[in-house]
Amino acid sequence: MKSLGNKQEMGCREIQMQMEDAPGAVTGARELAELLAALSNAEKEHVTTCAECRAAAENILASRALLDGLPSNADLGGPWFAPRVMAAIAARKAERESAADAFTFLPRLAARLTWASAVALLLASAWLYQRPASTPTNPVITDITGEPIADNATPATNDEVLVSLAEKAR
Amino acid sequence: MARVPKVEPLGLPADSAGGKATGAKAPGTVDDRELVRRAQEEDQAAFEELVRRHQHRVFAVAGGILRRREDVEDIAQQVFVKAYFSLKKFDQRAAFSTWLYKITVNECWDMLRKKKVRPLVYESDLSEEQARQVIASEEKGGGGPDISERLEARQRVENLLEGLDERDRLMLILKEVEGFAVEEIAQVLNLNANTVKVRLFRARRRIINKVRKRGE
Repeated sequence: MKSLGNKQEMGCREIQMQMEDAPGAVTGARELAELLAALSNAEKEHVTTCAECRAAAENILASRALLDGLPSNADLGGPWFAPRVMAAIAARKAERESAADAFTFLPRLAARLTWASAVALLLASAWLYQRPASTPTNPVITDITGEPIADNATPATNDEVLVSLAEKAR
Repeated sequence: MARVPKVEPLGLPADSAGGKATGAKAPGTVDDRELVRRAQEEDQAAFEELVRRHQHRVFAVAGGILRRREDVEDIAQQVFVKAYFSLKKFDQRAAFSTWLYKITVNECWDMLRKKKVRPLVYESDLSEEQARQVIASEEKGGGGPDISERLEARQRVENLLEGLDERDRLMLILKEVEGFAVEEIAQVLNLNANTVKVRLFRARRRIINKVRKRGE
């Protein structure tokens, strides 16, 4: 009995799936007879006697009638649409090409900049290497008025040294 | 109501005229694989032909997710531009349409994430654009219920769809509004066809139960 019930259920499901296959829209069935046209005689008879299958068929017809008022979007794109797409593609291509140009220009410029910097670095290092070393100057110590406290000038000759010693002794 | 011209399912030749699929390749038409191969070699005309063939499906899918005309147009253009620049990476193991659907769905989810808005107009009124669409179709159609009634009815349906999971809502719209086959919906959402059928079945039951509860 149980297996018979399952068989019956399987049959119902198959029939309901077959009814879903019936084309919708304009070519679709509006009447039960049209909807069942693709079914075999036994299946048609089943639908008329089985409450579940009949309800499924009625749901298909009712939902079809309900959605009939909705407009199709398929014709929104008229004959102007394809040329508009091609124009958009051309614009995008041009945009991509100009972007690609910018990307190839930068590396080229970078290579030149590298060469210029290398030459500048070479010249700078050569100049630094050849530059004479500078002598540090002695700091001059001054008093509060700004006069030098000690004569930092180194005596040039021996005579000058002796004279300065004599002056000190005096 | 306009429906989406069917493109080649699973890599079969498409009807390039944009009409309904006949299943046979019209004489003189080139299949998608050949067009993709040419486009990969920088043939602009080949890519333009691919755009013409698939734009309706891309608009349908994007419209099913975003529901706002302004967003749908932007995303559709973005999808094709992205496809163009990624085309060299596309190895044609899957159909071009499947690949394109994936880009479309990803772009739409990305847009929603960025905008941090929900895809439908939900509790709010319909946008001016949507109202204009209804008025325009009313003017074309002539008779039938008046504009305010139609706007109200449409708002009610949008509100009902609000309660569904985003994927279930997309499945229902693609199936019933845009006329996609179950296999195509499975491709769009990268799901098994049987999973799509089961989810469609449950989504229908949910909205119909809601309608019954509201006594509509």
